[in-house]
Amino acid sequence: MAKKENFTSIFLFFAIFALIIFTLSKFGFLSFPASILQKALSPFAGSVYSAFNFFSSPSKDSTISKIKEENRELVKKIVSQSVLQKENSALHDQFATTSIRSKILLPAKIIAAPSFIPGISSPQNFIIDKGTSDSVRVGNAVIYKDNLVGKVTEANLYFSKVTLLTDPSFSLTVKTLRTRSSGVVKGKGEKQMILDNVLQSDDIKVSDIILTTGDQDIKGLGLPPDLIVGKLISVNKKPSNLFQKGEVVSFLDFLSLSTVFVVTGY
Amino acid sequence: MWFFVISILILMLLQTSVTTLPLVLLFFLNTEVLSKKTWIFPISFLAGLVLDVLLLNPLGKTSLFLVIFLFIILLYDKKFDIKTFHFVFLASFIGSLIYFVAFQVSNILTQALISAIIAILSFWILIRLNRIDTKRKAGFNET
Repeated sequence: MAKKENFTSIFLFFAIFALIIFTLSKFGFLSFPASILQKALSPFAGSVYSAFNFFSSPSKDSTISKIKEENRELVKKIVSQSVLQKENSALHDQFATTSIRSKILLPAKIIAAPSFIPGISSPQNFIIDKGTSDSVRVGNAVIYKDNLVGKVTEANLYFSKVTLLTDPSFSLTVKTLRTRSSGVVKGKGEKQMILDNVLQSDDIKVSDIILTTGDQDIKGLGLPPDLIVGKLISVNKKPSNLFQKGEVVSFLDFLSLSTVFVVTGY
Repeated sequence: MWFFVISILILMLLQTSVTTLPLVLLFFLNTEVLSKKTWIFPISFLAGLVLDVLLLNPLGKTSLFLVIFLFIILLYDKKFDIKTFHFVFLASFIGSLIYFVAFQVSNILTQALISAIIAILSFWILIRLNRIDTKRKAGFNET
């Protein structure tokens, strides 16, 4: 009986201590010491991630990697060309709608990317080595070669957490490149995402490229327009349903990424 | 002791950088089941803080979870024999499941099942490395 009281008191001490720390942390009182601690510990985690990534990812010189890279470049060019054509057309129409985008891109190294089965399943989020001291804010978009990677959901002084667009908590408004049909893409927790809320009258088909609609606010927070989300791989159109649905897959292999870019403004 | 410290450090680094599986939780569960010592509380508290720092979680969240989880395990020890594979499987499955819900990890059922299998395997390895009386209690038939 004495032993039970003993471990109960030890438990209570640490539980209350943890609760106090948790409450203080929630209100932001411990962000500075946490940042310092993380700065001290992150090289170890970064080394483990780099080592694991090196051994688990396929060779960079392999044909598949090269083809994937070329494919990403081609899609990027197609999107850029399409946007330019539309801008050109808008200029012809009495300078109607032109938006000059000057992205401020901040390169960031991925120091951790926990996934269910390392090296096989997609990571759920990234920890990057840039924080509020580098002008990163919660809500900033994170990209790689005009492909959307995700959004900054937490940031402290030196580090940030990026929630990937495949995460179930992630959703964004999108449009198709071909017909400008709009919809909503939601993460599934796997490589595929769900395209939903597309009107039955809209024309969407397999292989359509999906782009962000853009939801940046005046401070530059949010997702810029015309970033590549992925490619439509299946369409589910049932007359009985209110909306069309589909499955989208990103052009990016999140496992092989080591550097990403944070869009810190316009 | 060195084995314990090095294992915890390695598992913490793996959990923060490459996998979402709660390896630290599973290791603490096995250690608690085998040793039943109270020094596990301060160690789990500190390990939880390090995990929170590296995963950018609010500080104290993992510590609180680990401390409560290990306390419940010790409470069970008063009523049941916890040095069994059944208990380790159930405790790791339920513990992982709650952990995944609390930390918003996807594929919770599959991941919890994998976690439980890892816990069972590591429990078996720890018993093999450990004492004979533990083996007997866990259901091994030594001849």
